[in-house]
Amino acid sequence: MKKYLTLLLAAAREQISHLKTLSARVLLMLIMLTIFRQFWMVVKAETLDSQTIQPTDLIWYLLLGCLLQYGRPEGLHRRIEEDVRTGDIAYCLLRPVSYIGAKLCESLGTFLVRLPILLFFGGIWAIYLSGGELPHDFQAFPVILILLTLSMIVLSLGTIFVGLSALFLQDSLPLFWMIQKAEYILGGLFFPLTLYPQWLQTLAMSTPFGYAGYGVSHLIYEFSWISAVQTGGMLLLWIIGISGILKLMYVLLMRKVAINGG
Amino acid sequence: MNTSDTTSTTALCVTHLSKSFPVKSKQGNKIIHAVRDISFSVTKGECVAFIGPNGAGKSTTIKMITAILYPTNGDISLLGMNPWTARKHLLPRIGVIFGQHSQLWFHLPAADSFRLIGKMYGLSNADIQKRQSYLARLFQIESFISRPVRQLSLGERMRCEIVASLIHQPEILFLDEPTIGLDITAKNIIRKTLKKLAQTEGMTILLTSHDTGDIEEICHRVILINKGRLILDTTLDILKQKYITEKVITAFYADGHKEERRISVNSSDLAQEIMRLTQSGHLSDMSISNPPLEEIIRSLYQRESL
Amino acid sequence: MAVKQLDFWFSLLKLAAKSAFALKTAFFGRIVFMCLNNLILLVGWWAVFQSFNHINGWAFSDFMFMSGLVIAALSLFTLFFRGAGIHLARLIEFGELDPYLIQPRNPLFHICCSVSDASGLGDLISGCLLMSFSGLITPGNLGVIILMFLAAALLFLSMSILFSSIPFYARDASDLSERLFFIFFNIAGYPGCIYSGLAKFILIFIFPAGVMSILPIEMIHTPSFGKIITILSISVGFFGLAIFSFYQGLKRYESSNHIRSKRS
Repeated sequence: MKKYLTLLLAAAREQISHLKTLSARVLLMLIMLTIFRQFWMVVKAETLDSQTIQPTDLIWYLLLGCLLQYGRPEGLHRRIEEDVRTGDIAYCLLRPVSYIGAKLCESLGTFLVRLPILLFFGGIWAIYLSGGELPHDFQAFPVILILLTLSMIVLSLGTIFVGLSALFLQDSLPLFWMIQKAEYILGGLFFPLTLYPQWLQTLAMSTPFGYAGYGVSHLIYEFSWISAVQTGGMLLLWIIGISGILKLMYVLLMRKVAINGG
Repeated sequence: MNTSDTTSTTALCVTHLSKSFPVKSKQGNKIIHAVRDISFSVTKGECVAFIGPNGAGKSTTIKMITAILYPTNGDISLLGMNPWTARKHLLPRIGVIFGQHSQLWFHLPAADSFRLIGKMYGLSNADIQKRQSYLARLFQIESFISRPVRQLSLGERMRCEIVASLIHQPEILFLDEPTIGLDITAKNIIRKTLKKLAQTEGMTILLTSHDTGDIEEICHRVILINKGRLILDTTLDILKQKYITEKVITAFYADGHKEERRISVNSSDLAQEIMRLTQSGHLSDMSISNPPLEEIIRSLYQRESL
Repeated sequence: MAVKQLDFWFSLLKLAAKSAFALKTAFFGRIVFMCLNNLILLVGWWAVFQSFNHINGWAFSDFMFMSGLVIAALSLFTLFFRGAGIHLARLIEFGELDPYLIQPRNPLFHICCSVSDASGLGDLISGCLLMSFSGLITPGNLGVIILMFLAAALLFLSMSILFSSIPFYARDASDLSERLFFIFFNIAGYPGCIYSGLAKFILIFIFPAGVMSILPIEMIHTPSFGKIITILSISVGFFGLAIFSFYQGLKRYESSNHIRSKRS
């Protein structure tokens, strides 16, 4: 366990050392948040529908989606693909840590450093955009943060899946785009799923993206312990399920490396 | 020499070349002097080895000569021209091989890359074909020239890299670690062929390498750089004569064991030591030799770092 | 000489295409996945337009046309100049421009043209389908649409060069360049109808995603000479800026020494 902690801390230190890129990332997130908010303001003014979500709630909903997007390391799938393609992954056998575990720690370390920073600036900006109001269930924020970390793990495992898939697809990028779009649409990162037709909502919630995105984010304005526990449980189930698939892929990969000599 | 520069036989002339650049660190900004006041010149057709420990400034110097980096101070005249002002005219006349950077297309046969590079230098299809088959024969790459580069071994790929840099028949070839990580066969082909090309085409070669085999096979002159300064500029023969401080005496005995002694060349105990060795068993053979070049260079590095 | 130049650039494009086709699974995978990818996005937006019907005067058909234009323009960039993206940024970041600098051809365009991405074909197909199904193309505006399409493609190339030049000026910025390009593309994929005032100004003149997402639909509904000139001149202007920033960066590169340790 200790060696994973070391890996995690190394990733965290790496993030802190690149302050310039980190601040650029914060800025980009604020810009994107502003655009989403703009979109919803226009939509709201048009429809005047009392059923739609309150603007303040929506900004925080979108902020949580942004945290998931900007808190994770970029290019993880590409680095894994390179390891797979060059056969460097075989050297990881020599190390006493699991490859998947190490990559997950890299993600987690990055996320845990970026999260407070992104949240600090994003939070101030969200409060500013909503004229000083707080979202309906703001007191549930600590619980949401824990669930958000679980979401991050689910989505990172997905990215690792994309990287390892280079073994079968020769090239992981197309799958990466697809997963990214699925996060975006099925995860409801930018449109709450309740705006979708029923069949699409059902579809979204039967993928890992539904719970990782909407499932966690909507708690900021519709919190209940039942749905929090349900979301947490589903996320854990997805973590276990995807990890199993990854383990299997890794074994297949090692067999291939053993046969082809990397 | 079949080119325009008939007035001069100097291929390269470097005078008082320096390069420094700022580096940011936690202790504040520092200025690193990568190259300090280096001067030397190379005659056409010469093969020169650039040696020095890692970080000595070899690559920086080569990069300045090939117009990739601007120097902080000093002048360079390459084939009678200034590399920065006459870059356009100069580039078609030089070839550069960077050990680590490939110019071949990874998924395509090397022949495709050769054709493209030939076109880049404005050669006709017929000329490219002629030059390619000539070089392919010399470097013995004919059997795999139509296989995708990704399927080639390192030695095969490196030979293709070198052919790619020679398609346009450069007058000066810069090689950065050309044989790093290759097996003996590949090393031999590369060394022998480069030497041959230097002789037949009058090509000037400047090479950096840590492999003394490269240096001994290809070059006859050595320039040693350390900490950005030029330490030594001499021929290989003189280097060996002047800097050999020891002789190695090896005695082989009938019972199969051997003994080795190192004697300082200035001392007078050579005869005594030989006597001692002859008496200590039934001698079957004996040799007196110079220590390998590698050792000479290592002792030079050590002396410099003191 | 000009013929030889052309011969070289043509050979380079041909080789880039051949290289993209070398791995067949990857080649077809990219085309198919790209179409699917666009489909997922379209379904999402269709769902949104379903619940609101019109958004600030835009119907779903307007959005379809806009996405089609953006996606098709991106495809030209992906097919012919893909090297201008992360490939260029990483060459700069790791100090690996040297081999291009010692070759007697324009290094920037040599790098840009040396990668072709098959996913561009998927984009081209889906982009053209989207534009035609939107029902906004008429024989009368076809010429203008082609012009806007070319301007948008040039803008993608310019922004990509611009973002990829950041590693000349900041450490470890190649991921950032990629992210910026992604954001540019994403904003360009958002319906342009939602902006007004300052935001609109910024998105047209400073971060010009609006040149693809705002102006073309306005041009189709209320054509004017001024609008098409604005679109064309902004694209050309940013192209100039991109070239300038690359060569300024190259001067820095040449006067410094890029010593980088390889990323673990």
